[in-house]
Amino acid sequence: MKKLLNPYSTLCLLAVTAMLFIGPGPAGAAQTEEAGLPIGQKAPAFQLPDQNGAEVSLAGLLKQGPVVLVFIRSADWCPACKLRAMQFQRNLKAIEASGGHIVGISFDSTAAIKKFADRQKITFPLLSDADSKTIGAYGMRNQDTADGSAVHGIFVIDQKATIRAKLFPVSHEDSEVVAELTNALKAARNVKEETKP
Amino acid sequence: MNPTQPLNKILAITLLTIGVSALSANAMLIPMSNLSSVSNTFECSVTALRTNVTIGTNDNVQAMIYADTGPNAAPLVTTNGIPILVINLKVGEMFICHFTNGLPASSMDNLATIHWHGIELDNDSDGTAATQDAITPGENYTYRFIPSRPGLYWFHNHINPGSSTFAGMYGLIIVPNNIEPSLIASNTLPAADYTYSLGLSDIEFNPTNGFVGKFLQDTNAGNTTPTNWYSINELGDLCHKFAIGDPSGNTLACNVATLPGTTVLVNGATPTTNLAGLYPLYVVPSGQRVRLHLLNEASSRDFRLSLLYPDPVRTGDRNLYRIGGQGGLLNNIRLEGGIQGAWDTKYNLGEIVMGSGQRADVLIYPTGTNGDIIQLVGNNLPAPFNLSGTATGSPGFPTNYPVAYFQISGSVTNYSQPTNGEPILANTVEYVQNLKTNTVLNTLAPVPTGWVGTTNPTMVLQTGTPPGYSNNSPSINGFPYGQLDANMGDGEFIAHIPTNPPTARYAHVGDLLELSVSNSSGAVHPYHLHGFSMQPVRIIKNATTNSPATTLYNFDYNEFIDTMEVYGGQTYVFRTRLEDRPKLCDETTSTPGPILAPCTGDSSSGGLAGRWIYHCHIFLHVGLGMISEIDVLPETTPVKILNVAPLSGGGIQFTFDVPAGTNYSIEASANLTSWQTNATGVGQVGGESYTNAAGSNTVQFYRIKL
Repeated sequence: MKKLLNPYSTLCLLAVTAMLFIGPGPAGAAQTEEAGLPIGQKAPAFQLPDQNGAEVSLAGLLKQGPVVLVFIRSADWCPACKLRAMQFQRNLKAIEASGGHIVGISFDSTAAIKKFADRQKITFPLLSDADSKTIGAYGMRNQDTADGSAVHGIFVIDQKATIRAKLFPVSHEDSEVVAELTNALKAARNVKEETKP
Repeated sequence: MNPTQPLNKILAITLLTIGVSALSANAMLIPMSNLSSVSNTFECSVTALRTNVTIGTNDNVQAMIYADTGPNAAPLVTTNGIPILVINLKVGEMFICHFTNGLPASSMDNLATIHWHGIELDNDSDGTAATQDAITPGENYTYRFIPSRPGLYWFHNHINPGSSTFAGMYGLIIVPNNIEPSLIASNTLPAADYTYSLGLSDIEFNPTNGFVGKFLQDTNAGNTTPTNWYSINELGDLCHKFAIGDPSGNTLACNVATLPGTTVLVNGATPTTNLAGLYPLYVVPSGQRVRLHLLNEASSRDFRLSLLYPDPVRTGDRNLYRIGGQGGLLNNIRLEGGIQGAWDTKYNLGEIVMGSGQRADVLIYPTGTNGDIIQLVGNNLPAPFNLSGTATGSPGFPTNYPVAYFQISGSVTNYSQPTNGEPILANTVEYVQNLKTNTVLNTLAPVPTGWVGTTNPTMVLQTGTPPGYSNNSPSINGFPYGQLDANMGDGEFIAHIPTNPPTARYAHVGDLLELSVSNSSGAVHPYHLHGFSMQPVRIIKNATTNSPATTLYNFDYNEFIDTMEVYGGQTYVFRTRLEDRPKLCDETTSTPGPILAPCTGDSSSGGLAGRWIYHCHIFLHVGLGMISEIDVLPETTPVKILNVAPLSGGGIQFTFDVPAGTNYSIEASANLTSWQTNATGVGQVGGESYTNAAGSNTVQFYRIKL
């Protein structure tokens, strides 16, 4: 586990961050964690084409279980986004074993998504939201550019179409990311089970 | 060790108790084994691995390394720090390296190549995301090239390289000048027994579990990001998410990822005065010229190096005399630092400063009595250098932190004290050529139809807000193109050639260019150009609203380099000759394996054409967008410069080819704006020649028009 606090390094960090130079602008009010629709809100419906041209709807996905909706900046030109998608594919069985399904969404064209999916053998749906309407409906439109791309972020949606969690994994290690997703999926699945008559 | 404890006292105690039994730093370097029995050929087998190593008292540091996996390789030892390979090559030697990616697949940081930093090789061996696909775990790739220039070089990953380089995945390459035996015989240089290679770097790791990365505690109100350790690439992702192209502006991840590591490494281990003794320790006689190969392989740190004598009474020569570095030996010894012309280097005359990726070949002249310890020490730098240490914030590095130790034993009298300006290659057959004056310059090529780019010869290192963005990003000319930092090993990126960045520059094989790198930020950025060496021409203070641009320093010596620290608010002007080289087909035996540019067979020419990236060598800045490319197109111009020979007194003589029967004119200019015709002629079979022995020192530029 990496989550271990070292007081020595903390002191060091706090002391030096004030004098650094690269400084990409002042700290804004909103953080990525706060981007997008809030937890507890209804997930907007969508129906979009996947890499194979098949129409995929949120309603249809939820019939099979909770949904992990992954907002991808670009499956065409963003290396970190593609690596993350490849990581999900690499661990797809472990993630889906917890009772949910992964779906990616980006503003790329179907052709661009298909090219990436075919080459990297991505089997989970990658949806093309070419006009960024769904990305916008979830509040995940990148406000810093006009290209319509999404910001990074993952919504976990329970079978009542309620947003149950928002995840922003940072770790590059499979084990830590899988644990984060499966825990969220299990929690979302329990919501339905708890409400069964 | 208490960093405030007087070091001399520690040294005295340590020497009394353990003598000089410490490990030699050179012993820590692992010479790469040669698989080949063919003369003039060096063949090796290298595998990228993740393995636990011992650094200081931590035996679980999760390093990433290049390991020699040839059949004759020495057993891998991980208890003396990170095992660092050194490859000893010769100019003109065939180099073949079979590389396998043995990194675990269970991480996003599992893509790898080898970039041979500084070597002028054929394009498809450059190991970048623009020249080959990433090698995925289990795949392999064979690099083949012939080093054409002596120098100190190094190698590292160039696919998302931040995490792997910071975790130890790098090695040294030493290519000596052919003339060195005679320089050793004349006592200009010491022999091999007093020549030491020091691969300098730094690292930081969680002391509990050995995870290599940096600690981030985000203190912004309302931010739920957990306090955690992150790898450099993870911090880069955080920086992307929070600051680049996103509505917020969390700068902490960006800042932390840029910071140097808190533990300095020399050849993979920590300089120390305890444990097994002094490390690294070299025993040398008083009055011996000692040669140091200094290589900065850190992700961001500036090393500021000087010599420290044991006490104020026993003083000696503290200078580090630079005799070469990135492009082999110099014509004359130099003392760096101080005020050069009107350029304030911000460090003292006789010190050496190396930014990330830079190297220096130096002589020192230690003197003293038996048992004296002279130290090579590091210190922090003032602004605009911001990445020399963490001493500004405690606990940081103490003043004069140790880098290496030299213990005096005996004395010699056959070496003179080095002097500034002393000849090295001057007046020898290997003298360093001057590209700065009396040369025939080309301009950048027009952007090919259907491609994207610019003919602007000034590359601007910026940290401002790119067009269309509302947050800052490191960029080139305001355009961040971090995609060049990596590809996925699937050929996708190579297919993006038609949409390469609008900051791409184009030139032709054979061109001699004068280009500039302007730093519009406030800090120093180490600019690294792949593929072809630069000869520094001048340093300019950038124009401001209140003052015009002014030249601070005209380089009064000749050198070829690949990495230059460009100070904030200044412009670095260099020239580069795009010399072709053999094209050697690289190979892969994996399936599907990296997708390569088409190669139908080895050729004696054609190796230069291709995509060569340039970037700031602070790895976070590369990933965020301070990166672009110079694309070299095949030689298409009908005019070919064959040889240029400056004449004493300022004149020039050059030979060239133009198509037979074609009329030509030779024009000259002092300012590249107004041109005068100096000669006309008709092309003949066998080539043409032109001589201007008028001795004018004002005419510096010539062009041949058809």
